[in-house]
Amino acid sequence: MKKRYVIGGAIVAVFLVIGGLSFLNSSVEYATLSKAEQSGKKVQVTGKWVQDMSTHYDTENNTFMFYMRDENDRIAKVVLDGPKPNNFDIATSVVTKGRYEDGVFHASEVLTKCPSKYEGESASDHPDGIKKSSL
Amino acid sequence: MYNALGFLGNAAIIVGFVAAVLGMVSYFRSIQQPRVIGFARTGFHIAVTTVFIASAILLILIVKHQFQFHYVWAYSSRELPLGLLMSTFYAGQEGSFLVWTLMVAVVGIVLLVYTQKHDNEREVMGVYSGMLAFLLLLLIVKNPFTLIEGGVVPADGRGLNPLLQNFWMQIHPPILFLGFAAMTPPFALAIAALMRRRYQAWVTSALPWVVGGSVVLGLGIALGGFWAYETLGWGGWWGWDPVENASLIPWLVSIALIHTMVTQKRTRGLILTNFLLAILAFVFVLYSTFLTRSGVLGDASVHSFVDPGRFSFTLLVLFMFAFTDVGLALLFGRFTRWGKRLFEKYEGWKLIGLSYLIVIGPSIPVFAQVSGDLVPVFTEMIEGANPVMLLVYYPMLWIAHLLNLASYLWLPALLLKLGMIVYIFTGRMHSEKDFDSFAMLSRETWLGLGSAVVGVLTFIVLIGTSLPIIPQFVVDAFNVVLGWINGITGTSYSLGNTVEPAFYDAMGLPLAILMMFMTGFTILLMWSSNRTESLYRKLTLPAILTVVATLVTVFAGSVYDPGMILLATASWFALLSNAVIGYRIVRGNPKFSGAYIAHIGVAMMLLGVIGSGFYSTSNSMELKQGEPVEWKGYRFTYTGFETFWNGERYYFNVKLDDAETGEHIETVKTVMFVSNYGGQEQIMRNPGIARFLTTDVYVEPQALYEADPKGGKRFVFTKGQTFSYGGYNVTFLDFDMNNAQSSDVFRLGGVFRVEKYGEEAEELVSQRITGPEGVQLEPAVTAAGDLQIELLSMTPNREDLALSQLEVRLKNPNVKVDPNDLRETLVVQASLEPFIGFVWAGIIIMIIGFFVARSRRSKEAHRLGTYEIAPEVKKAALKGGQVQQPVPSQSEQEAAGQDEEVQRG
Repeated sequence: MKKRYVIGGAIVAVFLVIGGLSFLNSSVEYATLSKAEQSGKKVQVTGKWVQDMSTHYDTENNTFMFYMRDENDRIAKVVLDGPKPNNFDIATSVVTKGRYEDGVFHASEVLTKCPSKYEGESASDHPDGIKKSSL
Repeated sequence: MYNALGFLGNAAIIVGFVAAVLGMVSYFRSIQQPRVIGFARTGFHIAVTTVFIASAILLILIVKHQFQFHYVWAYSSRELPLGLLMSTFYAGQEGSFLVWTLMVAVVGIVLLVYTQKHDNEREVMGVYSGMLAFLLLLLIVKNPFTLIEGGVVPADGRGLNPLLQNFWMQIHPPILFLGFAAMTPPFALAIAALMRRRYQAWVTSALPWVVGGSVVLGLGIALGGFWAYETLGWGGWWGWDPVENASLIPWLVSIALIHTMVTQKRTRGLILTNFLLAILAFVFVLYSTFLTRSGVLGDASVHSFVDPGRFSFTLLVLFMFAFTDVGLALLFGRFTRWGKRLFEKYEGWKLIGLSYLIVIGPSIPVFAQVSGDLVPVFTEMIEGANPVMLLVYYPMLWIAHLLNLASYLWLPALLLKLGMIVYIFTGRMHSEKDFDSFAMLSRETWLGLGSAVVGVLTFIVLIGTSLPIIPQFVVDAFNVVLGWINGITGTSYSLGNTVEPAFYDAMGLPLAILMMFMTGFTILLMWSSNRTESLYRKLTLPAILTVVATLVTVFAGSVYDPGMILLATASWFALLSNAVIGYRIVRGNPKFSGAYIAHIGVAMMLLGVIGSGFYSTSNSMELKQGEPVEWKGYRFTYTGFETFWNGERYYFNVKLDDAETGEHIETVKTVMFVSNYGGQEQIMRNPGIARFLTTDVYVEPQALYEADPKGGKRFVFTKGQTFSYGGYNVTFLDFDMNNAQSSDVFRLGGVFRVEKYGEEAEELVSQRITGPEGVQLEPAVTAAGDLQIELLSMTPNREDLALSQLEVRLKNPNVKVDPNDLRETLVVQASLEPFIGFVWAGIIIMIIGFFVARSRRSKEAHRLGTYEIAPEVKKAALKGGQVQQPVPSQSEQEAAGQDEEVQRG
């Protein structure tokens, strides 16, 4: 066994341990709102923006508030650090990352999933009923 | 006529696919039967031609606004200027696959000429045709020439997402796909070399391709970052988004590969490593496409992709397996004892076929498990398909049934497969043993170690990006184990489903520091051996300069974070060491300057990252028109707006002055407009940027408040509707008609629920009284007295009174309306991005370095000339020993010698 392999192996081992812990620390779980409330940890919740409930942009704190419905049909108020995201209004669903505290989901990040951003929306959803012809 | 063109495009793709498959088969056949090579070439030519035809047709359909085609309708519209219109070619999935195919075809033409010169056309082009066939098959499934059902011809298209309406988005995708395409030749050359047992010369001939592919891919990634910075308003240029990461992975592999290839050229070592990396660079391109195009990352990325359909998903998975297994099969056959025994008697077509069967066998159940139950997919496709396609779909249905059976075996198959991979890399690594023989203080050792560090970084990005697609049951199982560990150690670790960007930052920092120190150090070393004294001598100047530059950075830039100080030291060392040594080399021969320039570029980029990534500051401010706000030595004044894009979009101009001298610096044009894209009105925002030598002032518009002479803001409510104003959510609950009509007055009343976050909700009634004396308002005011609701009018709905509308003014009565309030207010988020210019400059310098290096490597490859298998080499290879190579040509030796000569001087 050459010395370089011992040294190299030691460096790799140290790195693996640090990396592994950092990996676990920064990993975020997919959760529902109820699960988010229970765990109190930072989680990722996917849901839909409830369009007929109010939204509000607070200029002082630069936060954007909206309501979101998760896959279990539970509705929660979401407060995002930042303005309303681009493409928010046409989003079919939203992905929020944050913590559930005091009955409010405080999101640090909201991703909008749009049907048409990079991919044509599925035919049946389109209001004009425009569909692709089959092969 | 255009419908006929579309049909032609469709036909071209199908013909192209058949031709590419025939080309692939006959290229491999031609290894033993040279007669068929003409047939093979024709097949390849036809495949390439059809790709050009299909691309030209799609472009014509887009430019001519043929909205009867679903793709044209879905992504373009009449209002787009020509440049953006043409970029809708690759705005959707079908078109981006076509662009990728087109790039593979273009690269293929060059590769065909190249391989004919180097006399390895048959194997290389066989593999390459296989890749072309794969892409064409994908296009048959996802084809852009589909008409809208029922012969509908919409008057206008849906338009292009405003986020993509940007100059950088016009060039970023084609360049990225050209980079993807350029990773195919190194793979094909590696497979050809394995088939021929030419383990040395291929490195010289593949190196210019790797460097070329790396530069194009790097440029594509950088342009994506520039787009994020300029348009998306990320405030940064790199967000560790899964889609960015996915294209970064093959690029990092190609960087490691360049260094290990250079090492092999000199030392003939690292043979297996180079094959492995060349295969991986390509397989990761497929993996990257799989991640970004299959919908698996839907929840984890801002590049939100919707599921493209089960069939395309399955195809992407299938081809990932197929190409990885070609590589694994040949590595198994060439570098392991058992593999050699099995395959040494076979060449050409039989070799591919047999080795493939053995390696791909275990892949089938694993693939079946990953792809899931396909029977319903094909059952559905059979319904309503035309008779010709039925011939294709029925066999597929049967295969799907067989796959379902095979999937029961997925676990043992996966273990077998992993076992085989372990066997390949541990069983008989004879070719890598020469790494042991390198002297500790030699360039080759440190190049190898440096590549290993790049490999670790690749692994970090790979594992982080792949976490979201790891099945839940694996995560759960892992968490059970972690639970036990937590029980013993008292910690509370758990594994989630996705990682935060902080993970990459935390891991990237030490690796970047290590890499930069190694870059600076390795470049000082000579090949084979170094004397310590001469090393110290060479180290002196760069070391002194580094100390000076770092001290300047630390004190002038107030950089006191230890990690940042280390990164600055390492980057300066890499930059200065390369500059000092590079200067000596370049005086001798400018052609060798590539590596030094590229290294300087990387170091500069990282210095920019220190500034822009760790010392950027931001502040949210309300800019009332004409009223300056000071921040960080700048004075921001919103001066008003101007229109562009046919008056539909607005520049909101923010004047930037020096806060002390009052001197005008620049006017930043931030952009906001209402887009109707997707049938929904929404506000789009683009940042405005003022660029200076040492810092960028980055202004993101957030909102605009228009002025109202009476103060407050008018809203039209229907019952149940909520609007937000002044921190309140105001809901119109019902009309209050209790005492609507007395003798001569009409009272209109509205009941409102008013809530403010953190406070109790109130229910208020606002009234409007119309009597003989005229109109009288009885506005509702909240308990806190900071919101007033005035009823302005009612629009009754005769059919359903509940649908009547109420026009209301919401205002804060405490705020006096003074003339200043008639000015509108722009809310912006301003940030300072120090030294971000270093990032762009570093990237450009790096790219220039790559080009210089590519031209050198391509000349070396040219000198290599043809390399047909010499009989004695073949015999030696069969014995399993080290393969003797033809001596490098004299000019190559000279070139190499010079490199060292200058360093000694």
